[in-house]
Amino acid sequence: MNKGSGVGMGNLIRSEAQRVFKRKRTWAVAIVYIVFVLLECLFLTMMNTSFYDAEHSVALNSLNTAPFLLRELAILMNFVVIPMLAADSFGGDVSSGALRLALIRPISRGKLFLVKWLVLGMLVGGLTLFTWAAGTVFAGIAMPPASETTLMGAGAVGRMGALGFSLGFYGVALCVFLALIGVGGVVARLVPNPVLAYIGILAVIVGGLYVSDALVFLLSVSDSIFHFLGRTGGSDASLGWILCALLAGCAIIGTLGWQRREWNQ
Amino acid sequence: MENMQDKRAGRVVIPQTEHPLVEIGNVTKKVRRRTLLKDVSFNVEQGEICGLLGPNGAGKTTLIRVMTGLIRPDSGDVFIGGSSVVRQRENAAAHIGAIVESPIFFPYMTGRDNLENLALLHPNLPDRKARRKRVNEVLEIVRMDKRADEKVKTYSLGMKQRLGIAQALLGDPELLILDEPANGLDPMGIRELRELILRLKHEFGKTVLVSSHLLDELQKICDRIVVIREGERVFAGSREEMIGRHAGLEEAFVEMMTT
Repeated sequence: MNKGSGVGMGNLIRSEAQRVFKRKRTWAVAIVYIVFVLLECLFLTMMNTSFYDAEHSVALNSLNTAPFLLRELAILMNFVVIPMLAADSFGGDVSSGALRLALIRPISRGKLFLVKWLVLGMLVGGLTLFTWAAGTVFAGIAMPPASETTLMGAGAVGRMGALGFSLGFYGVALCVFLALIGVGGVVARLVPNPVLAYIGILAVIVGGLYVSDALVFLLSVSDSIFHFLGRTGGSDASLGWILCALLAGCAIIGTLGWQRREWNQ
Repeated sequence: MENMQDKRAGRVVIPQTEHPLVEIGNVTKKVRRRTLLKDVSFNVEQGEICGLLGPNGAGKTTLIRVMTGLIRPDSGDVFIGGSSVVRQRENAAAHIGAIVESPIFFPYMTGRDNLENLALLHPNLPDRKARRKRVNEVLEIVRMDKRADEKVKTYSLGMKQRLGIAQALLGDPELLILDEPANGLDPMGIRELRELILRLKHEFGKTVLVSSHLLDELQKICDRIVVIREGERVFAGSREEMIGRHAGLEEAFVEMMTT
């Protein structure tokens, strides 16, 4: 039988996606998150007010609500959804020994790491897109109508400006989530046990604060993105390049780590 | 390498090659200060069943991990089908199907799902039709086709061992590496496994490296025996050479371990 020249990325992604979506925990985490999105919509309807940060509140309307929906949900994402998914995907199958079945095949282990990252990124990206869509639709239906609104740093904007701001906001949020998945991959490389990997990822989020103020975005995602997009200066001004460095660093460390590691589990 | 079917005999004719299928050259592996493998060398020829023997902790599983590229040797190399496991792991892996230690699967999937998932990782099974066909073939070879759609966590150890061999066969490799495949099997299971290994050799032309403590079983199936003790190869030769003047493999092995 012809051994062929290599496994295509499409097949690697399909294989990883099957493993991720066959786990009950993946579905449980996604469903819980979606329920929280709907509850948060209800909560915003009752409050009609949200916050850029601890010092700046804002009255919500049909144009500015979508970014504020992610305010509490980003905490759920960073402290529950991503650590659980990353610990399962990067650590669970390694820890149980089942990933050996994939590791002995003629595939690049560096690519396997990147594919795991990509598949989790697509899942988290889907949840982020759902949050944006739910926030946009819900705001149009249930929040006070407005033809113009004021957004931090963007000034007064109309319908299209508000839509662009919310897309930019969710785009940066997705980059933060992708970076945290990458961090999860590196942490699980060091401690494959899923429980320890989960704790390790939380330790990085909290411990980041003690390393540098610039890493506060892992803890308070929406505050940092509002400050970054609003160009208010301070430690969040460096969010862009720190995210790029974090993504590149995790990609390099993770890929080399998976290529060179000893698989004793 | 393609195996050719001899239609008259119903068996596979193994083409003669210049090099052995497996060449293990001076492999040494240390973990911390402990030497797990020390300068281990031997070859396995195409079409042979080679038994890997040794007491617990002798280094059999470590050697199998080195052969499958799960760990790197500190020195030496393993060549499978002419490709170095250290420098061309993906090329070498294309020649290998393996069970390493116990047959662990993704427990949240059925047996068939596991195989279809792993079939995606073989370059010689690029499309869905080819993958489905191959999965059905290997399930039939190991006689698991009737239970394939049940969750793996419901399988007995014997069924998991057979599914382990099925996943090892997915890419139609020349070499099967089976690490303690008879562990936990009852006498009927051991007999079925023996017959399966012999079928894989005679009907499908596979080369098999099998590690086991069941010396009677190895005596019945192996052409060649390699014995490892405390990380060192102490014997490599034909089954007949190993048995020599002894009544059987067990006596020869015990004497080798005690002298």
